[in-house]
Amino acid sequence: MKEIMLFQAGNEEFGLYLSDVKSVYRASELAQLPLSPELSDSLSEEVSGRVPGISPHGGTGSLSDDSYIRVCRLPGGKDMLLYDFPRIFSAKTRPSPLQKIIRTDVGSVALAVLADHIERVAESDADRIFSLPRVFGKRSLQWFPSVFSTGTAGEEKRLVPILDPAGMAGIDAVAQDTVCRPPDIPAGDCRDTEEYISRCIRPDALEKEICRAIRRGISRGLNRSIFRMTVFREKAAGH
Amino acid sequence: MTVYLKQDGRDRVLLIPAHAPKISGKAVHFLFTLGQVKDIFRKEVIRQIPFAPSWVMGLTRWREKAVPVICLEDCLGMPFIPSAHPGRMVLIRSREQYAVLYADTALRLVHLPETSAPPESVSWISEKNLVRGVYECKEGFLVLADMPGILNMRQKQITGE
Repeated sequence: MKEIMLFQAGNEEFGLYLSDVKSVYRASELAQLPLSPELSDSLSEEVSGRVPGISPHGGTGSLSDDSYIRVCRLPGGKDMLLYDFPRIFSAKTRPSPLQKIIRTDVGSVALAVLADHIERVAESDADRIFSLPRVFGKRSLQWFPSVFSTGTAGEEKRLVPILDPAGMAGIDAVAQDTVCRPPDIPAGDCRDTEEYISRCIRPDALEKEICRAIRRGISRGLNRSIFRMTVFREKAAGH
Repeated sequence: MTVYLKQDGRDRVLLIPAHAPKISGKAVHFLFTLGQVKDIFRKEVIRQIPFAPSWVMGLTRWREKAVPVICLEDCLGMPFIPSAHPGRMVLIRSREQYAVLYADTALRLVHLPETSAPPESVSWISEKNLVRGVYECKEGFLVLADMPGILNMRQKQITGE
């Protein structure tokens, strides 16, 4: 069972796995600053200079107006990139008092999404979550690799794209989790390559990565089996 | 209401009128074999997905699946007139992938024309690599779209793979 936080941005509805949500703030609680070169430098190296090109209203293209992405300052003084979803996907520029900032961390990188309001948290079985078909193209797949079908019997059923924060920021989540940057460990300090590699890999991250790989393998295997069974059943039924 | 098409004859094909202006006074149709047509159903709500190519209109529900809705006219680079009231959707199967096309009520199930000829010019299709063939017959122009190409090769062009 997966828990998905559903939120609204303009007229569009999006989802975010609850496990990806670190915290939620009122938008009025946090200072929001335009993305300037100085602030960009203060952000972690993984994000700095990697702000993806976004054109308004979700179209493809390059970013000419960087007001779609701002910097948001946490009470402790830490800065994080804030993606203004109402502006990006609905051309909505007027802030409302109900807006929320959803913080989501990718490894050590803090990212945030501005939402008009948070609707609810929905529970879902794996069979109500679909992979986005590849025909949608690279950027759609990076940002929204899966889609959630809301509603049970008697309820209105809608399709809601689920956001992948790592894909949104163009961060390689695997590399983020497992490997330290080479400057952290000077190669000269190690006896040989094996020691260098073993010191580069954080044991806790490695464990996480192994668990994730196993989970991914099991769910892919299951999906394939379900697909084959469906095809077989349809063929047997003569459709 | 859902209409199921029986595959009772190999020589029968489905003609879906293209939302395109007439070419030399003749209508343009997309031609699909019955093996390609999985289902015809009433129009469902389409959920747009951000950053999708212009010819991918969004996702719709079919049974318990989420299926992409595509505009073949836009995909093939044909001039097209958006239909105000497309009433139906046609589910096309291409190997293990599915795609939905909009269709007006004027769908036609016909026998494969006995006589046809390649047209003199197909300058009205700019993405010729995504077309398996174009034929001219009494029904008008029949366009055979390369569905595996559209759902695979075409996305490779987009993703840069």
